[in-house]
Amino acid sequence: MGKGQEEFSAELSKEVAQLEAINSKPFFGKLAGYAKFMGPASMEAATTLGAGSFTAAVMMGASNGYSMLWVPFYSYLFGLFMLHLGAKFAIYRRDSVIEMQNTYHTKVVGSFATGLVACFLAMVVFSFGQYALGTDALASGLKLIHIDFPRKYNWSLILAISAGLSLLYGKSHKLVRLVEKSMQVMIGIMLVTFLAVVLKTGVNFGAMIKGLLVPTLPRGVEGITMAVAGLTAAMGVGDWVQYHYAAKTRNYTPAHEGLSIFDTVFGGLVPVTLVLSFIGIAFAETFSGKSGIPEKAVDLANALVVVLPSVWVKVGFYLGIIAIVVSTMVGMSILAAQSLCHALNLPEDPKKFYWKLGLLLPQLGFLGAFFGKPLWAVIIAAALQSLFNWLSGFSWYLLANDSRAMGKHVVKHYLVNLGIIVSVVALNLAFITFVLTEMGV
Amino acid sequence: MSGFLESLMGRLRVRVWLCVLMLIANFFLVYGAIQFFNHGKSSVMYTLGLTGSIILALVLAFPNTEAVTAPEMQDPNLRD
Repeated sequence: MGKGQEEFSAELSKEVAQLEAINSKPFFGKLAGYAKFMGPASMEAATTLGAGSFTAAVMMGASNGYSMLWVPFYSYLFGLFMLHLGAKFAIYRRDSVIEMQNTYHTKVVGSFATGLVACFLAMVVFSFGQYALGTDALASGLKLIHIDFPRKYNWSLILAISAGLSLLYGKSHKLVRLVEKSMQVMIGIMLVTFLAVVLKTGVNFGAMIKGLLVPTLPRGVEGITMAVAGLTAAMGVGDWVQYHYAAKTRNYTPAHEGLSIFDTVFGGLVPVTLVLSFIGIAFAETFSGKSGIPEKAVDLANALVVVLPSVWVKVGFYLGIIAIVVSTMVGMSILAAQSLCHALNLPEDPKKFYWKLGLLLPQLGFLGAFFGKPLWAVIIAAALQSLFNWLSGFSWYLLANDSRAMGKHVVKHYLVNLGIIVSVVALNLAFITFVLTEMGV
Repeated sequence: MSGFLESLMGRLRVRVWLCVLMLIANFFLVYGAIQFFNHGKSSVMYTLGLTGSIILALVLAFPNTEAVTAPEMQDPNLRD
């Protein structure tokens, strides 16, 4: 055993001993104890909070006011069932979910549908949109304090921070925790800055509670499409896989099972719902019901900044967007490397060339600062996801209920299985809607 | 219910076949909804798809409570 591995084992043994002591405490004692071990859910949450979910929150707030705040909340709520599965697979299996799928459901489902399509390809293609948004926010934010740092140069700063952090991941237990903490800090920045914006734009508490908890859908096909989009908005196969690998990297043991539930709720559901709700509320208060508002999210964001009264809140708003982009690029790079390794059956080794290649390929997204999103590639990646994600979904459900794969750790609760099935049906409906729409039905 | 879901039908478990049925029911649901709401046709397919999807979800949610595979037959990658 090398020195690094010895250190890793010692840290893990210490963590397990502390968690075993926490697990035997009463409810509130557990909550306080778990807080310092949180992490894998932050990796997933920081990736979910990206340019796509920011744009969706902006557009839904500006067009529908408070009525669509429920979308990220319910999407994440149902996603919790899949994250629970991701933790179970990490805890009770020596191999990872992609290898499990390869063994039980063929490489088409594991390596191809889950590893290459849902994770690797998506992480590479969707990175262009991150840079397009991030470089715009960085240039606009700095301009407010009279610093000229145009997009054609400032992409290098986003690349340096996100690539630097992602290259640290996996090298040691301490560095894994450092990257996780960095993601938590960036989520903290998002929460503080967007809350400051909401305090300036105002909030209608009654409308907020109703919009968050009561789903409203139009009748008919539009309602089905909206429900499907809603359930798959904040959480997809890539997010399940990311949480699974983040838990695997932390070497989760049965002692971590309680922690994983706490972490996904307080490190995932709560911050993701709050950040996206703050964004939605700010745009609902400023633009909803008004005519002649901009049609693009970036233009809406710049128009919001104009009406904010304080220069520091304006700068804070852009800082929040930069935190969104940087943390997403870190998460996307790590997931791209992990999925590439497991899809090609290569060991995860931060020293190897293919690991670094997997990490750095999503950074090609810096070209988004110059050319925006390559629409053709985004359409192909989204189409492939619609076509194959349902396969991954069924595979996760079947593995969770297969005693050959999980032994006595198969899903034991009816409601958990029901939650998983609802998440899988959402992927099916997305697949069928996509196919029928393409066929012109 | 668990015994039924875990029983073999051909080479596959009934649970797997019901997943295939779920995909078909979901297809009926979406295609039927488009036909009914957008083209004003009969609601039979939509109703069947929706009802089938709900029933299948309620059935597939039953957990596997069958006896665990003997240790010597278990996957070596499984951790206890």
